[in-house]
Amino acid sequence: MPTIEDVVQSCREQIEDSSFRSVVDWKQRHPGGKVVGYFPVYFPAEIVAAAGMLPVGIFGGGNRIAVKRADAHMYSFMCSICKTTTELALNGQLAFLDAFIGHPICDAARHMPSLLERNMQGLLGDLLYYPGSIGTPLAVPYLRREYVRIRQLFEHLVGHPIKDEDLRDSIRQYNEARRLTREMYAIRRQSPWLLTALESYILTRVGTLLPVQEYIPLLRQVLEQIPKRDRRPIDKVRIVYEGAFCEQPPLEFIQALEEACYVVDDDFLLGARLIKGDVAEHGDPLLNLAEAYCNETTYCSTQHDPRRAKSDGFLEKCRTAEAQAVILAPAKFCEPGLDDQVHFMKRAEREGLPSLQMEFQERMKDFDGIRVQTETFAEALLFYSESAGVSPESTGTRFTGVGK
Amino acid sequence: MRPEALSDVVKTTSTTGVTRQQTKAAVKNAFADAWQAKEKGNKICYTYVLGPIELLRSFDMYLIFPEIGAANMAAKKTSLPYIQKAEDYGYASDTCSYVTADVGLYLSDMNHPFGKVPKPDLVLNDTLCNTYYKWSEITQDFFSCPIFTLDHPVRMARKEYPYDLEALYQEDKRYVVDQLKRLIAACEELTGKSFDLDKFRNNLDLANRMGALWCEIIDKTRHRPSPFDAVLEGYNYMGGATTLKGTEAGIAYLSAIKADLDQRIAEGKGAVPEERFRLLWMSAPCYPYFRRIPEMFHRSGAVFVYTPQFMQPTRGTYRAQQYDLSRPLESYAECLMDYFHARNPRRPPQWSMGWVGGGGEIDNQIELLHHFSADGIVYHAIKSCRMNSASLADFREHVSRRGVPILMLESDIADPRFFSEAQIRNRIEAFMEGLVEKKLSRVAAVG
Repeated sequence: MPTIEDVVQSCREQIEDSSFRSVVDWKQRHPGGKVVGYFPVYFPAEIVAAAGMLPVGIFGGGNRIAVKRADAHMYSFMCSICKTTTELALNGQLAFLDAFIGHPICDAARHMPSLLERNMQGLLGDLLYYPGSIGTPLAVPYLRREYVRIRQLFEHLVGHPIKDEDLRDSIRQYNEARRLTREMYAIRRQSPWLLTALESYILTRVGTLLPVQEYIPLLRQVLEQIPKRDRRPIDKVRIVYEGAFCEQPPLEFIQALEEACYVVDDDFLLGARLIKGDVAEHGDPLLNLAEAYCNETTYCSTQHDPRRAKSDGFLEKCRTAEAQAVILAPAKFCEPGLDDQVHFMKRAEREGLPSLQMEFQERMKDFDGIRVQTETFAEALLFYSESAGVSPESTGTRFTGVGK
Repeated sequence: MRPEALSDVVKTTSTTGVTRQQTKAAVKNAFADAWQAKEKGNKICYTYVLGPIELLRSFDMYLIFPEIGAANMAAKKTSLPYIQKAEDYGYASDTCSYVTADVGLYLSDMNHPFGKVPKPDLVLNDTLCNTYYKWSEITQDFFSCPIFTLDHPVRMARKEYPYDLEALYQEDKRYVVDQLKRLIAACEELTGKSFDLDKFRNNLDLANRMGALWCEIIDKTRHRPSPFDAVLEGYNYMGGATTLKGTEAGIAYLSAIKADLDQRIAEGKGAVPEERFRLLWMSAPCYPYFRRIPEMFHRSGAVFVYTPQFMQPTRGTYRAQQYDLSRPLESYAECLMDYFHARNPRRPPQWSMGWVGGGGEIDNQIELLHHFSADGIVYHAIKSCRMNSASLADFREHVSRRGVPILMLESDIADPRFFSEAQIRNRIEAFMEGLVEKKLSRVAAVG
């Protein structure tokens, strides 16, 4: 059996491959098979998989491609994920896509389906329009109808009906993938030395490329081996990271954080964990998916829910993770992330939870600044900060208080 | 502003130069009038320029438009200290400067250059852009006021639909109507007033009349020479029309503008002394240097004859479309959905860009050029506004392939730090030289 390190390394190669060889291979192995790309944050991949198509998360080109052509198609103040996704499209590196689904998560992302459709011949682009306010009684019936429309769109693309039973099967499989992902995160909260944030990130990210039937055994294989790892705890600060719900930071960025801290929870690839529990597996599958999106999700900067403040969910996450501090680092030019950074920062201040504010870009290549800032922050927490209840003799008080 | 106050202005001012004064009066007195309304027990609602104004006004709510407040700060060259205050508080300079200017206002004890602003009793989040969601949430963080979100789905237009488009439209409409009913219930609870259907219908009637007048006004730029500049004067007209939407004063205001323009046309007066080029302006202006950019074009005899934002004052009541007073709520929902961001693909956007609508955007711009006999397009990409700006460079690539001269400028709506005069002047001069050469070569070819 391959070791965790082997599996992670193999997954890393897949996610760093901007030619998407694994997806292209899937298409070759499935003649006539269709690939549906989706933009973050959340996408009901269950519907695509139930049609026998491959859902693929499109998270830009990372810091391994140079932006040359996309600059002519996008102005200066656009986030990296939109720019590098466009670069991939213009370079023909997304030619395997039969459809691309975006969401109105922000003013930039709203443009992506149209923009890609204009520049990729034969591509089917669409906006899956989530309800503007998920907390009203109108949201679930509306979203169910929207899922019906999306199902019809995919039926047209794949050329056959998508049966309810296939949708329920698909939901069962994605529930299992979500359960296994939650297990990984539980391990990180409980024993962060056993699984790093970088490893868990890579293992989550690869799930946006693989068919769910291949992804589940991969995660099981890793989870089985984690308790047997010979790793010991180190005296590090426990932090929660917030800000990467859409654009993803480079792997080196996560690594730089982990050199100084245990990242015990985060919002990387939030779509994979947006739904907190299982989607109901019986009854109307599209209604169940809509219910889960509106009523069973964790907080997210791109969802508006009048029933709760986002910082309530944020504090709950910090409490559950027993975090000593938070790093609030949204992507540059990310309006929802940058605005919520202040919302979270002020709440953290009120709760006496130390926070560090930074920004990242998917395209960034220099991590010295990030490393120095994080180390300084962690050292201050370990040795100097009384506000966090940290004394030189201990690794500090963990955050458990939640108020408003 | 109290509607009667503006009516007074209209009655007592001559037509020449009236419109700018009226706009100034409408906007400048808004906060003083808001306090008077509050003293009378009316509720204060913050809403954005495309919010359901006629409905909110039927509950006698006093409407404050944070965007207009921020734009006025910028136009008065006072926005930067407010923005910097918000940045000191924690907000990033890469976000919407309307929002940061507004947050700066909250952090300045609500002291706006035009007066002290009352706090909101309600924020109405129109969902035209995603920043409205965040802006509403920020306002709520500061004032603990309720937010009402009025959502209208965006639908991409496509050549063929694998679903029943008509059925989808009807379902979307029901979704919007149901939200309007919930908004009515929320307003009844907040104001203690019952919904007055006749009053709402009357507001819609006034809005229809304003819409018709507005369409006449914006069509006047088809005259040669154009009697007004779509940026320099057009945005002033829009500020007043939005502030007074659905009121008698609004009708008087637009009537005065129309009369003024008719007089200019009769006298043969153009927006520039010698009109040589006619251009389309895509996106919002650079308010901190509001006059500077259009004037750089004027020097070369270029005038702006249209901007898609001209659809804002009427919100969907453009062209022949009017609110149907026999079914007010349903018709209101239709107009909310038919707005120019292609919420209703059954009605392809006319005179607009259809930013996120899918398909047709390029043809639509070509049609606009023909309709207004324009020589080229200026795209103004705004740091703050990705909603307006994200596709502009891509449009440039596609529209220019049809031989259309395009200039793309970058600056901001409220933050003066993103304006580089030398760079913008150079680009404008180079563009204008290109237009001159193109015209000369065309003349030579014909000759």
